[in-house]
Amino acid sequence: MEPQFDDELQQLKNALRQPTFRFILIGHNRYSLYKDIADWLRATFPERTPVELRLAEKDYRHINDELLTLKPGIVLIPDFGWLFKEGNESICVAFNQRRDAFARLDIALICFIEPSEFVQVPKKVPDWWSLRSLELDFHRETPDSTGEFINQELEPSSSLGGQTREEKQAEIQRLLRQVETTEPENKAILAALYSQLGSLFFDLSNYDDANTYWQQSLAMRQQIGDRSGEGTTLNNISQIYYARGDYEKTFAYLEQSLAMRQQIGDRSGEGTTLNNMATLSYARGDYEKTLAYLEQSLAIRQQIGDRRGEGTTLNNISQIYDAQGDYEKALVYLEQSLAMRQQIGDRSGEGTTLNNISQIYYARGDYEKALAYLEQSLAIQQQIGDRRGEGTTLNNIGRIYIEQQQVEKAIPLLIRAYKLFETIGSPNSTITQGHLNKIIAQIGEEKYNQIVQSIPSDSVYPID
Amino acid sequence: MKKATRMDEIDAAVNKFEPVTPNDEFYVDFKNLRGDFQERDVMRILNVTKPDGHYRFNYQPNRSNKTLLFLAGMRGSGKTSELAKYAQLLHSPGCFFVVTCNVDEELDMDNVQYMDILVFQLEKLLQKAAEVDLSISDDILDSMNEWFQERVKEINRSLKAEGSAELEVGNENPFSVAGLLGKLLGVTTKLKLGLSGSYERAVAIRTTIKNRFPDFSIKFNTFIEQTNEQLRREGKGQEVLFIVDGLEKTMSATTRRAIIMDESNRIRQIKANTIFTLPIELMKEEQHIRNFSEIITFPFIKIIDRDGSTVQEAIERFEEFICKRVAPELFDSLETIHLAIRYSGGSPRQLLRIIEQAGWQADTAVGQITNENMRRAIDKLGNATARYLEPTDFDILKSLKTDLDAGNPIGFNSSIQNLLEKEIIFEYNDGTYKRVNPLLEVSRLYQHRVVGEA
Repeated sequence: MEPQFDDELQQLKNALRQPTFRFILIGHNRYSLYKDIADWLRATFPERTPVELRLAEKDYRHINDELLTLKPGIVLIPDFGWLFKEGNESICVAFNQRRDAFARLDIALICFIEPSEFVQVPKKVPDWWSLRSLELDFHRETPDSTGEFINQELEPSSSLGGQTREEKQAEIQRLLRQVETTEPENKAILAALYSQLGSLFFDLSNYDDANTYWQQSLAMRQQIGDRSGEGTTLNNISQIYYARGDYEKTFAYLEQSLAMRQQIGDRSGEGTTLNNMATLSYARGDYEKTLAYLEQSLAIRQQIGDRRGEGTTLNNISQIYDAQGDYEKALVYLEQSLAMRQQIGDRSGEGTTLNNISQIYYARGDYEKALAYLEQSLAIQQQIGDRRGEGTTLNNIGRIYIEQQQVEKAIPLLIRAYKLFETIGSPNSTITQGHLNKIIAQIGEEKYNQIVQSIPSDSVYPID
Repeated sequence: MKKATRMDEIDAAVNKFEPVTPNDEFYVDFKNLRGDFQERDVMRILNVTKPDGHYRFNYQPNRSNKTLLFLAGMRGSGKTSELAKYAQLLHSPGCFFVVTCNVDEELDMDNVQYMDILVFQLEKLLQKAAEVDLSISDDILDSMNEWFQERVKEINRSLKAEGSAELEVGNENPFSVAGLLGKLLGVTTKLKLGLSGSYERAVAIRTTIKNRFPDFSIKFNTFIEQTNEQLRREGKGQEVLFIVDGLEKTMSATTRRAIIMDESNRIRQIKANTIFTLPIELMKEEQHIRNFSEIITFPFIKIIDRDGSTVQEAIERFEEFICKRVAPELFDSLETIHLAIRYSGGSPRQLLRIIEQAGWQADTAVGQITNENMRRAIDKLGNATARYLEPTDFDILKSLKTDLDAGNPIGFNSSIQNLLEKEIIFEYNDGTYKRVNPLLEVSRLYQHRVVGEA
């Protein structure tokens, strides 16, 4: 995990060093943080392998019985915030009442919540809160990706200006020149140019400039009554806030976008915005809402025959089931998504879905199958020149090799992934860098450099 | 519980999950240090005197008066330990036959209601009576048993009509307690288990007994009186005293309020000396509650007085509290211990939390908690406390700061209540003396939004 979390992880380690009861609250803004913390705990406390206990949709009796049958150890509750939902008051009450009974068990409960849910804890389970052992906040700027939830983001698509950073910057210059030469009264064109500039800056993770241009585009589109464009831009602006972890604002913009698109009957746009709302709910761990949005999005896309969108949504639905540990269902949706994408020749989507299927097998510990799917995904992505996809898949293959203690195989792949991400200006480079740092920490810099030096120049994954 | 003499023993020694009773080596009596709260007030309300150094309850003048006392206090103030102290002090042949009922540990059900607590109290009394071989006459037990068996039949008729599984209460004694006492204990235990079973079963039991409540209260009260007589005959106590702990953890705030407000008639019909812990948020209903019971606030220990002066005796008692758990050599100085005490605000639980966190900050190679470790711990906990502040809290805190600086008494309203429950402010004396949680005061957010803007 990133060095910025060292202090929090040290506190967590100290809090867990005695095998006694603990009630620990962890606020996190990305689902990937839960996974990473869980992995870290498994590595740090191998003799007390953490078990996962989910609360969603269970009644108090069920939760009580599960807790009482747990062996002494570390228990991760990824959806502790579910307790605070409307309708769960009696579960909170019962859970609160039994604090002292549970506190006699030698289990360390590590409860994951959204940052905004901290204030609910003293209200809903005040006696648990009173006995809290530790509260930690983990905040990650970069959006979850690298084989996780696929977010259909912008319109126009991010194929604007090519794929590399240089190509996109060149396109930015071209567009700026066009802006200079466009008459100020020609708002429609200016709005479109600003929109493209926003997209390009967003692709390069320059959110300030992206926001500036999209806001200008929005203002113009409103002035000229371009409601379709307005809906699109509102959707786009939401992604800036999403990328920054400001979910409140993300939601506000998505709501506006949705309302606009519904008003004007832009069904395709509506499907997109619903998909993005699903992404937001997913990031918040609200799987119920996520599914609801995705199902709405799917229905619309099926109705209007948007098969590309349909493939995306089927893929996204699978991620919910994946997150809930229902791998069977996740696979069903992934297979549907894959079939759809293969049918319509959506190679990029096909590569993504193959990557996601590999994640199911990875989660199940079936590394052989996971690798097989990743290799299929990689072949497609290299064929079509999908650098972002290629970087993702290389990263994921590297991760499996790390799990299998094959760091010599992992390093060249991760370096290639890192370079790809850097080239296209993707924030995922931080994640890949993190994997490399872990390896260095594990084997030492000297050994790492030796391995890097030994990579043949004509290898499948050349180092530039 | 073992005193920590090494760094790796500190975690266990500052365990805040296990209440400390007077018999424990960690126990410290904070008598006379909780401002206006005096143990003697509790004793007075219970009609207990101490003529010869031992607590005595004279039942004669109090035959028709039974005490119902609510002890209200913030979480972590030490209520459970205090009640354990009373249980020990008052349980004697010349005083009470104390029956402790820990609602939170032993009643495993959602939506606990007053009826459930009564059944539970009866069960605990029967268990305790069996433990001391109390010879309650067969007629008395038979009478109770018959009444409950009839109720079980009613309950089962009701469950059968709904197609639900019936309550199984046989005439054989499955318990180790012989005779009718065992049978009655068996019935009450099964009823209690039934209350924690299916929703339908719980509703059937509650409804049946509620519908027969006047009869239930007569049976219950008579049984208590008969038990009291027998206790006196056998020299085992003058009267039964129930101590019901954990009530404040049960139910939603709405239900707790309903119990105190709507169930007060039923509560009044039960003639048994009882101490309940009271949910702190119900202190605002004090006037209503005083119509049918007594109520005492159990505040935090006061370490700083209104005029800003330190209460030296409280500091010394907290030193004892710490040093009984953690060997003083594990701190680099007395000043480090005092730092922790200052930031505890007089809450024993908060003090344990501070030391625990400081222990986590410490370098085990150094072998001591240093002043720097303690400051870091305080800083972290302060910022953690600030996490629970909502935007509306800041205005209240600013106004509170103004009142505190001017030495004004702080009244009560629902906003203050909310801050008390979140441990943002602490309450002392009779409740009019409030201070901001000292941990919060060091947080960056408080400094910026309250001190900076005040």
